[in-house]
Amino acid sequence: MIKFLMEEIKRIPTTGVIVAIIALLFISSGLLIVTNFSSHPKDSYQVVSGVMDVNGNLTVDTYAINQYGVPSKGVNSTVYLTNLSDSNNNLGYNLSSGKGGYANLTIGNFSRYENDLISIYNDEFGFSLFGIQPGYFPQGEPVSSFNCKVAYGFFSYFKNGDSPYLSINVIYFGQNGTTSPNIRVNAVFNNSTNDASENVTFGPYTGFIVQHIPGNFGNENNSLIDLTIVSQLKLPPVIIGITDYSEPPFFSEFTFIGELGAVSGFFIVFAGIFAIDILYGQQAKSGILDLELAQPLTRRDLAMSKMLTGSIFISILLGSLIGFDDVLSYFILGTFLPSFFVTSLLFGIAVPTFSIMAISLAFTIHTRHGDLIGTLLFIFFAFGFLIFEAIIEGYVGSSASKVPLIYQLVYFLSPVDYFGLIVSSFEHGISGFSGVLTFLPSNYVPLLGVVVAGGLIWVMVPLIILYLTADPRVKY
Amino acid sequence: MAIEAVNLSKSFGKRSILKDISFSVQPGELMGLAGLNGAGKTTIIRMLAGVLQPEHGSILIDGSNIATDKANASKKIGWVQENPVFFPESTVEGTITYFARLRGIDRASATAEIQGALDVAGISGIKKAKIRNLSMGLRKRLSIAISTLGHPKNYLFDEIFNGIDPDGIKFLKERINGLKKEGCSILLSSHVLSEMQSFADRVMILHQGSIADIVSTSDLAMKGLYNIKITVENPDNKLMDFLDKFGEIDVSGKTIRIKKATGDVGTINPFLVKNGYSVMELTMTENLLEDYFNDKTRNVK
Repeated sequence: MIKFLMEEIKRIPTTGVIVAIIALLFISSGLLIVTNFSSHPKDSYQVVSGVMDVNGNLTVDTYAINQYGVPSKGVNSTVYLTNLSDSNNNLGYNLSSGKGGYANLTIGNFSRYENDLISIYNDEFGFSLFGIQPGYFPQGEPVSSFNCKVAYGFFSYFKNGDSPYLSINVIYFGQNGTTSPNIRVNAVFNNSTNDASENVTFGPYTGFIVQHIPGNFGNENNSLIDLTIVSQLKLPPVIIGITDYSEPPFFSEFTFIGELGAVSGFFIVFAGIFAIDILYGQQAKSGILDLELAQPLTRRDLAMSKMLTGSIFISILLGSLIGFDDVLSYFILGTFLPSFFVTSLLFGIAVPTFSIMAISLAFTIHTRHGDLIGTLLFIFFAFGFLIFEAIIEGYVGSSASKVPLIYQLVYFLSPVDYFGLIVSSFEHGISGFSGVLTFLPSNYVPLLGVVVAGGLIWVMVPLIILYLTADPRVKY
Repeated sequence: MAIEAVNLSKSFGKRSILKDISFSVQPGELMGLAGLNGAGKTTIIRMLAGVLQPEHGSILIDGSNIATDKANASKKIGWVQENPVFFPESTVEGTITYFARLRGIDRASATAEIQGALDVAGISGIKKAKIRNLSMGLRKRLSIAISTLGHPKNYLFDEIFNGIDPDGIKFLKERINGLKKEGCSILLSSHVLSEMQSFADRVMILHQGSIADIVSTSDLAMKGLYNIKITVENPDNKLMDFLDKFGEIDVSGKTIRIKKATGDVGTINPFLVKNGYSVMELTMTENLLEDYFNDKTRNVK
């Protein structure tokens, strides 16, 4: 089998059909880039925060994220001292985000303004607020000596939604700006008129938290929330303010191109998978598979070798495409996410390619590509799990936001989600597992189970089918 | 025993293709496989090649069971397809090297073996040619070269004379005869019965999934089945009485035809000379296998 495997690896790139698949995947990759930027444009915001050091000097940090969910560079903002209701108190400081959307500026001694609000204004994002807090840990150790950017707080209120809720988003920057320990947040609403949401605890999560709190917060605009952060690093409390945020409609003209890209990308990826099926179907029909099978190989050797070599080849292709996407992202957006890149390579490629090849080959060899039922079964298995995931995620997403289920399904069936789902599921799974070890059982544990079970089904079912159909004692 | 098939049965869905087929091909023997379209010839060949699995029965290649010991059995048999198809963008050399690796020939001996196989097939001069540019005849030569890799002692030839020019047919027949002289056992399926009759030792006639008969070509000759055509200037009753004992006479003017003549047909010419007949034509054609085949496939239901 090893010899056959090696010969397949050497031979397979020479076929014209493979070249066609490369072309299809590259086109798909291009659409993937489009969908990365615009398939789900609803969260456009600027995270702002600030801490005072031991001398009372206030450092303002901003983190701008555009409506496509990616960091924005070149966002110019003005710093105001809100001083409760005075929003015109321009401090004369301006910030401009660099690569990665990040900007920071030390703007002088603000110790006398403790617990007041600083607002950052930008034409695109409007006002964003944060509370002025001393940068001390409860034990009195200054934040600066810990070199820790504790930056929290932005919020949004979806006033146009069917089910209004308050979104508290927390970004934690570790000492080196990247570490992500498990953190939990307790939010206490000052002067809250919303009886149902005066004291909320959520987490544990890693690094970035988005917590949706159901309820109508329309009457609490510009009121404050105290956030108490529970973590291994004993982070200081933070104050954030509530402000209105109107989300653009999910399927507006503004987003149509992105959705078109997603749907088109989905179609082309489907075509690419089908091309693989055709490739081996052609080999079966032309007699090449027969001639190979007439050599000293078992049927299982043949099928497994075809699957493995095809998977390796497609994995290399997809790996190149993801790398290409990331490099392109770097030049366009100024961001490069190594961890995403690595996990994409490891999990976003291997699982789908192995599955695709296994399913495709199992049914191609079994049906000799002439059986309608076999082809329909191939389609069902190739996308059954994906559709299942889409329905689950679509349902969950739809129930948690105002986005209609059908649009959620379209999004989750797009190639963006096809790869992103696997990556994020793995990350969530690790997070949940880590949460079990360090805290009480988290709400990710069930998700971890689903991911593991789903992954096993996704990979094992086609392999079992392949094994059965490849058994020489089974007729075909 | 070189190739042995015992009680083979095969169905595709509800359609029964082969029913309880048993036969063997001995070392140094060339067995022809004849049958109408859909009789099951290709199915038998594909099962012997290990590509299809029989529902019932077993296949032994030099004692190795192709179902339970396929890797070993496949090394002992070569297969030449009716329409050999290879990877079109590959070269002749690349293709045969690929199959040499699949047949487990190590790199050290592969070069010499490949060259030898190409020489024997007469295609060593086109090693760098792309497969897509080869004619059917050249592809069959390549297929023969591939089938001889590893020097198996058993061969399957499936309709290999189809689509080949006379030179190609001559080459294929010489090569097959060469393998036979080397002691190889050969199963050859073909629609061209005259070709098969000229060099097969035995012919298996397949009809509707069953073996109608397995007959040796020498037995066919002994049966004395000839088609005779005589044209004389003065056919008379004496001549008719003489010829009547060889079979049914069909007279048309000066021409007399006897289909499937039996008896000592060698006495006809002396009779004509001795009795002073002015002979314009005397031919005896041996469409024996074809006639025998027609009889068998017509009678068996």
